Amino acid sequence: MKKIMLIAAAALLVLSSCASFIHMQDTNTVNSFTDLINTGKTDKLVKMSKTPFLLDQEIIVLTRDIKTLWRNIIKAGYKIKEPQFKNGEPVNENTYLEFYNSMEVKTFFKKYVKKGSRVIQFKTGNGKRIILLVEPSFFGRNIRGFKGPY
Amino acid sequence: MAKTRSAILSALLFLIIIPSAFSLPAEVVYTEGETYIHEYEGVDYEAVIGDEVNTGDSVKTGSDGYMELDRNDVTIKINPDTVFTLIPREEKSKKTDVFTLFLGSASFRYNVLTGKEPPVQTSSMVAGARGTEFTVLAGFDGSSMVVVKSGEVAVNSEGKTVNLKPQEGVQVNPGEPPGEKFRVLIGKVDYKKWNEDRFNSFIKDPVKAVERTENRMKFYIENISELYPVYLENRAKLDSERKKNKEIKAKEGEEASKKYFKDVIVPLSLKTSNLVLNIRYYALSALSLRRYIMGRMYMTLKTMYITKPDNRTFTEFKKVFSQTLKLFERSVVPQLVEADI
Repeated sequence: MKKIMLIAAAALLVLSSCASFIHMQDTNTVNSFTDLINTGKTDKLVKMSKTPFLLDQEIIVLTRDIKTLWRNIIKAGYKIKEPQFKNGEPVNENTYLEFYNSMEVKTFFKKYVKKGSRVIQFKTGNGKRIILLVEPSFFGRNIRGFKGPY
Repeated sequence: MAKTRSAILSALLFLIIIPSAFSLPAEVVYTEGETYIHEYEGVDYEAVIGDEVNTGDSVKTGSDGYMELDRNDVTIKINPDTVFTLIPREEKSKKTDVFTLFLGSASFRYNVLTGKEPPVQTSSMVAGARGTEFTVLAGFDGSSMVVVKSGEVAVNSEGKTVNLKPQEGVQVNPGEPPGEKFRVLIGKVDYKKWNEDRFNSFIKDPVKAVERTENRMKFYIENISELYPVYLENRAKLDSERKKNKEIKAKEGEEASKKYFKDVIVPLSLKTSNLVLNIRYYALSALSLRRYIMGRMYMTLKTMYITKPDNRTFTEFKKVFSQTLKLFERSVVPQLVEADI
């Protein structure tokens, strides 16, 4: 039994480092995020979001503000139509530039973004771009930042 | 150049903040719900009774959070959804902590009045505590309200001071002098409604609200711009005096050097570190304004207008917001270090 568990864990480890598996995870992230927005799942979005959180160039520190953020977006009737996955990349020392070029955002990435985090970019049906900053968690992925639509 | 300045700042901050941190900690005597201490070094941890809040640290309470701090002479009751920071500054050659509240509300009770009570500041005013018990509220739009239960409190903004007596209150909008005093029935003030009114006032005219914030940002920047050249001058003088002291040591011996150090270098060094302290005080106040007032305004409007990004109110708001952000980045950020973020 122990041997099977070890083999399964090793297989999972190999799989998780495989490029196509990561690509699949990234596209799944886009699809599930789109679903949550389009079906108005505020609570789930709040639960998935971690503070400090990056919205464009703003560092949000209070959980209460995260609730306001997703609640307002849903209340405004925002929908993501025809999401098209563009790319997903691991966070590197220059990723902050995708959000905003400032000392605050650069420090945010350095201090608060977990190892293994990824930046996922996708386009919506009206040609606008959205960027998601996601980090690994035990049950999948958490959202640490959101930029767009722009 | 920026790296050198940052390194100098970090070194001076270490010298200034750490010794005072040990001399003036506040102790957590009660806590419930979601309460965190954000250490100056940038670490957040859940607060428990007995923890110490030192100079440079912040306290954050969630929507169900409440904390009481005890600091010998004062008891501070920090209400839900509040960010409270102890920022050091120098005034009349003495170092003092400033109780800083840019978001939420807190009540202060001074057990003994010594005349050296730390002032309380929000994004729109500074309250000098000559009273024994009062409450300060920081609203969504950067405005503040002070309500006195007992004693007297002097509320200052834009060069105008209003003295409040028991059962009196005043509201202050950012970048404006204090408003008219009003009578309050202690225990009957509806703080929740006041905050809702501030939020509604922001929604009604977000451009005016962000312009007021811009004015306040300019106030902090003017103070930094005034102090920074004086600091550079003092620092250059200090370097030159240190070199001179080496020459004195070589020519006149150890005793002469020690005397020169005590008479010239120590006072100059103290003056330089006090200048850094005050530059940092204004920079950290500007950062709080940027994070807890401007940032929340942006987040609220951006998400409300997410389907109408070309809305005229939103675009006008963004215009003022962007120019204030540029001012902040150009004049305040060089005075900040990573630990501040």
